[in-house]
Amino acid sequence: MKNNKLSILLRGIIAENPVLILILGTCPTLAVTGNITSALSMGLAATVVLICSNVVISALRKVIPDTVRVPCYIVIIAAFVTAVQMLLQAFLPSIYEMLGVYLALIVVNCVILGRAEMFARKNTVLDSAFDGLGMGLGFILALFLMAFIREVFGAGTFMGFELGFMKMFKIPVLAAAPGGFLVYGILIAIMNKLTEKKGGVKKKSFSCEGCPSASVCTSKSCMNNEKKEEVENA
Amino acid sequence: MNNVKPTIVLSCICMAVALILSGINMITGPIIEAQRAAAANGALLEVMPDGTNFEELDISTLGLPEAITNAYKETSGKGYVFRVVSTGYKSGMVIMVGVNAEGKITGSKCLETQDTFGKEPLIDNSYNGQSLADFAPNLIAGATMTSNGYRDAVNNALQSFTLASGGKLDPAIALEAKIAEFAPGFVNPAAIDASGSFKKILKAANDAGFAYISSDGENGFLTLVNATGGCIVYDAEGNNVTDAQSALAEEAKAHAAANQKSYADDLSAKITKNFADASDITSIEVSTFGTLVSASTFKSSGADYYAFYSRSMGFHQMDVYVILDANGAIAKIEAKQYIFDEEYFAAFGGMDIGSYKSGFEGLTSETWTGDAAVIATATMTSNAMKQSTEDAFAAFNSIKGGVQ
Repeated sequence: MKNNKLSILLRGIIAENPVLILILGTCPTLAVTGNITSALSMGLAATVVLICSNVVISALRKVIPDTVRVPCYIVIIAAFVTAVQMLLQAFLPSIYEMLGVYLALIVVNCVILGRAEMFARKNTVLDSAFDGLGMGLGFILALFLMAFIREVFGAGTFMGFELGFMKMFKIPVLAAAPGGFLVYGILIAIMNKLTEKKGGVKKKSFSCEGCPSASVCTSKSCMNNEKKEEVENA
Repeated sequence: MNNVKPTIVLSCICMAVALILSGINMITGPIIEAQRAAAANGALLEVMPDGTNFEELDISTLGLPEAITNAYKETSGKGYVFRVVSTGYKSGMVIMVGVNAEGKITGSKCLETQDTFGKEPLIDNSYNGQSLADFAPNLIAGATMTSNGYRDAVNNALQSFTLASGGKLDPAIALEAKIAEFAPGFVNPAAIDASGSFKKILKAANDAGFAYISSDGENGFLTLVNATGGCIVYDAEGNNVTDAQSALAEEAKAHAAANQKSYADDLSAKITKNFADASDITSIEVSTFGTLVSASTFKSSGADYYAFYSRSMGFHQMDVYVILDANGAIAKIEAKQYIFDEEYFAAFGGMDIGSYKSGFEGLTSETWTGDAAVIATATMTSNAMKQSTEDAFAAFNSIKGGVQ
């Protein structure tokens, strides 16, 4: 399976957008999209961790035994998250304050573990870096979109600046938690509609493969098992 | 054997990660620690940028001015930071002031205020470098009250520095606290521009007089001038030293005469309104320091009368006129506003203005009990009426005492 570098990069942004298509990393998506600044900061932090962990995991893919790979990934991801956390706290304390507990929660962000499991452990370091970057950009884009809608239409501000003309028309519920779910749902629906026209995204081809438990999954409907059988039968 | 490799790999990864993270922590740790300290001392550092660590002092043992709510000492001896409350235009202000070891202001910042003009930032830090010796008020046009409140806060901080660092205040400054004791009728004395021999001049908000604070280097003096020109000089111990300090008294009287708003015409008008045949209306000087802003004598139907105009503080500023006959009995009492409005009295069923006023008539300082001034449910107004009447009696007695 040869991958063109550019297509790896672009795939993460639209076709396999981690938030809107893969539906991964939902928790931070809903939590930090109340305003654009925190959404972008979160996106950047997650992207840095994603690229770094993808590179390291890919580099160590031949060393890490299958049986302990998930603990290994988690340790590596946690290390990068902790590093990012310490650096942010030291050099960008305002962003550190703003992201709060969600920064630490990047450790368990499914996008990162998902990419490690789904891509990095099977591909070269360079490809993995591109995949991390693409997924990261996709994550940032999705967060930005949601935050833009929620902040501009919900709070009537843009990156904290008051938008005078929005004062009369803002919809406060968008900035609140239920608004997060609403906007998220609508965006997913739009994304589905758009990709459908282009022939649709074969979700099934990655929905189970990307699951961290795929290798131990015993469910009959698990795509990963079907694949295994196919391989065995062939 | 199958379990060995995974164990080793995972352990190695964990160790490598631990090493890397400890390396990062060595770099970021001190920065984060500094930030934590900075957050804790944020406001303190803003007014004392040189400071590193602060410890809060127990202000109850230092005898600082009341306006000081918190005092912090820079642990390496660079100075002190004081949190001061002060009055602004509408609301109080909370101001942080840093004073370095030489007694100079290192910074000042208004932390809280409800005033809407937002002029405080114009004054923030404008006192930097000043000390108690060369203290000069910074007044912002259009924000006099805010400027005054700010100035008082900075001044309080400078005084507190002297006290906190073990020094003694200039006796003149301690005298300021005695104004309320010696001149109880001076409502909210507030500092105005100082001039001449005086370090500080305070003007009563009800125009009842001026207080002058001065010092000859060793001894401080408090000179009071009431609205009628009566003057008295106190030393730091509270002794009357008017005779010995006649130069101060003269200077203060001259200043007061030039700055005192005159209420004499107002009082004359009131006299002629109530006593159509009043003649020989003459302003007189009284030696009491109550709420009086003007005093006169006049003749009517061949008898002598004494008229006093008092501005006491009730629920609002009050204007009360008390006219006494030659024997010191109340001949007439009148107040300009509020209490004699029909509307106001109508609320207290059964009480009419005429009988309230006539309730005072004929009372002298001997027969006066204060009951005549009482209006049920209007305590502050009643108290103000009472104070005005008593101030008039006190002034009358001082005049009579002087005659004898």
